[in-house]
Amino acid sequence: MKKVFLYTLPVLMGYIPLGMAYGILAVESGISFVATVIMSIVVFAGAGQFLAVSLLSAHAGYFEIAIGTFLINLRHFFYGITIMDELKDFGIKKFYIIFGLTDETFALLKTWKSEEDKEKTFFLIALFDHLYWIIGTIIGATMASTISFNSSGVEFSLTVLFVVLTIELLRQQKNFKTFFTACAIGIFSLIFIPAGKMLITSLTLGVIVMFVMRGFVDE
Amino acid sequence: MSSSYLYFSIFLCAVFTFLTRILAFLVFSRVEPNPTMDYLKRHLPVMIMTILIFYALSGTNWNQTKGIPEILTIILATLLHLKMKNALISIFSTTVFYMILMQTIF
Repeated sequence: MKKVFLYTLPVLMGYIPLGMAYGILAVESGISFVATVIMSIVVFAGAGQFLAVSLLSAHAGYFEIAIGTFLINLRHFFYGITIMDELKDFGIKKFYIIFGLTDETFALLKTWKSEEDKEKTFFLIALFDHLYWIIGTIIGATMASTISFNSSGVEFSLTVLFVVLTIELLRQQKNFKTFFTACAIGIFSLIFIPAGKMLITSLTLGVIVMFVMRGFVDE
Repeated sequence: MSSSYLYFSIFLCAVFTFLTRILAFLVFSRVEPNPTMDYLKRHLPVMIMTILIFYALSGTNWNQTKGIPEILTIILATLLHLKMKNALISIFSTTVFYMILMQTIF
């Protein structure tokens, strides 16, 4: 237990402040304290929850929320492919581990070396990470509910979050053609598509272009 | 926002997030590499994440800001993140930078 806790410390250092940022943003955007915390308990996704806050405060439709959530988290599908073999003999705990398969949990599971008591260890790693996220959320949401400050501009954290995540992805895979194609789609949508329809339109366009331009992008 | 809208939306987020995480286990009985899957794995995340940057900008009041604080903050975030490689520092410091710009100058 102690060994697992020490192993998850880097995630604690990351999830507490990020959970706080999410909690502050959500409460400042008009989402109730309880709903803000419930979202961290039942969803447990960093970028996905930031996006959800933005969609909720724009009163987006259910369809847009569902598709947006699905696509922003689709990278987890690929994590699933690379880790499914290791989980296949696990019992009921498997479902909680899969539920908790965030970027950071995935990274910890993939780098855990010991085979001993693996199911319990994986379960604890997912559980600890989940708790850090919830605690961070509660701290942030409490701060935002009790301390009043001028929060105008705080929503820009969503933009810089995506900038940082994009840089991280480009660092792993230098596919700048895809990046510039996506920029073109983004700018086009920003100019021509009304804000309420923009997410769905540009993501759909992006996925179609991925298939149409495969010869150009993939080499 | 009404609480039925709020809670049903959270329910949808929970279901669709979990779906992305369990999808591989539902679709494949055994891992089979195939070129299309590999192509999507390498390119789709960048495509989606980049588009989300522009989505996040769609709430900007361009008449008010002319895009200046947005572009400055994105440049700062990029430079900072390339240099420091610490996501939290990049996100926190540049959000504060943007808030100060918006509350004092724009």
